[in-house]
Amino acid sequence: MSSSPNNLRRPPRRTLSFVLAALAVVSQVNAQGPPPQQAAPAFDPHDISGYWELGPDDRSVPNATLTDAALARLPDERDFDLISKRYCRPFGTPGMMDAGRPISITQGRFEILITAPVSTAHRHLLLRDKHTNPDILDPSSSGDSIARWEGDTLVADTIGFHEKDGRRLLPGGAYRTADSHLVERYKLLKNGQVLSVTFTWTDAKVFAKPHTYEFWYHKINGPYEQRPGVGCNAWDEERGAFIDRGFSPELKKKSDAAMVAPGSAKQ
Amino acid sequence: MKMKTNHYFVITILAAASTLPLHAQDPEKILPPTVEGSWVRTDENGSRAFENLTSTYKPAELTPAGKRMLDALPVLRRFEQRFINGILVTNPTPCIYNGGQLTLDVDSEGFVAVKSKDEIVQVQDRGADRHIYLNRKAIPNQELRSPSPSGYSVGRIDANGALTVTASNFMPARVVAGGYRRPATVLEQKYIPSPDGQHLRLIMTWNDSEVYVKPHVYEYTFERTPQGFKPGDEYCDATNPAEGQSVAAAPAR
Repeated sequence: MSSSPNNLRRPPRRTLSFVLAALAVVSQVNAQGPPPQQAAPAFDPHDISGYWELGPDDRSVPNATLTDAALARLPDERDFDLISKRYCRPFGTPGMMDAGRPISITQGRFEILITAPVSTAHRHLLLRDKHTNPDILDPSSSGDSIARWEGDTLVADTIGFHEKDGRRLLPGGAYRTADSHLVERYKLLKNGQVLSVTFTWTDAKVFAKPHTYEFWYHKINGPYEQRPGVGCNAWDEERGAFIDRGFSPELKKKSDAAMVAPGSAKQ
Repeated sequence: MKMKTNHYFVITILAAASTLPLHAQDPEKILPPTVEGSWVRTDENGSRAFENLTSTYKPAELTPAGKRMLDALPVLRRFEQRFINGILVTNPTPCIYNGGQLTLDVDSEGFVAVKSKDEIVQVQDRGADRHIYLNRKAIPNQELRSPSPSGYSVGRIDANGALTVTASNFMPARVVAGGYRRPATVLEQKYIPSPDGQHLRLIMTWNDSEVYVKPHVYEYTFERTPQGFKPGDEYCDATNPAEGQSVAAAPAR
């Protein structure tokens, strides 16, 4: 009964043939089609918590239909966002929802918190019925958001945007103002692995008709950790030159003029 | 018989109320002790103002090695100035975004904590956040994970609502009241909500036998803000001196 390798029994030839035949059949089956799907893990359609990322093909964005006045103003708004990038101005909403880095969604008892590792105000989607009293509401770059569940869809309603703060450009060739109203519909798809967010903007001064687009965020599974920030220093001259290279001479002039001089009337 | 009918009626109403979503009820009245929610500091230490909040804390007792490590940290440069486009600019700390990690200590701004099934996320106004993992036990060491400003945090919630957090793998930095932290330092945090859920104690204990003669311990206290409160938008525009003191007049000579 020694267990030395030399004394191990060789498998019978018949058994060996059977195993080889079975392997051949399995490899044939695999070559003929995709492997069978693994049993999908259960998911709660009312829990959108997790880390989510946008891939390169995850945006379905039609062109916005703007009013004539908005169309005329759009170039200035584009310049404003480029200047904001130059000076590391925070993103706010909706910029932080597509800022090139995964977002974190934490669904809690009182609110749904959305954060992104970029310079931005967080989003607090308060789970309540009414917006903050407009008499005491401070407009902000992320606005005032409330949310509720309608079946398996979380509907978030945001108003109260600051007239200047934040990156104001929207996907589809549009921009937001202090009067803009955003309704987002969050819904889990594909067994909870995709989060669809449909954004609908209305603002009579900007849009000739509501502007709707949709992003598909993919869930990051496993022990992911929110990435640290990559940093942004408005006074880093090397970075400034890097950004300025893409500016036209006119835009560079506007960008330089954006700096408020100490003691000036603009201050 | 009438009594019995009323009894059933009350039970039915209570049962119906219990099925309402929490946000449809009045959370302040039903809130069990929890760290979830929005908190503002109350420990002003008799200063009557939120300045020098930690001036009365017992200073950390550092070992000689700990003192050397602390002294080796670069001196804080809060007011670097330079000319940009012909304008003297004071380097605006709040306008320079260096990362998304919330500091471990809590300033006068307080914090908001939101809990999902897997983690608690803490945020303040200024864009940083901190993730405390409830579904993980181990803290990766620096061979697997680069040290970061607020390190890596795992936590657990006890039956009384207390949250116990263990954090480590920090970038070297100063700690409140003369302390020091490094990747090997371990921070234990105990968040203890009051039975009525309206107050919170946070006990901080820094452990590192190479740095501290004995664990460095101090405490914060908080009060819950009304429901619906959310942090403001501390917007920092580097081009606007009214926001973030980013552009300042030249200092008097």
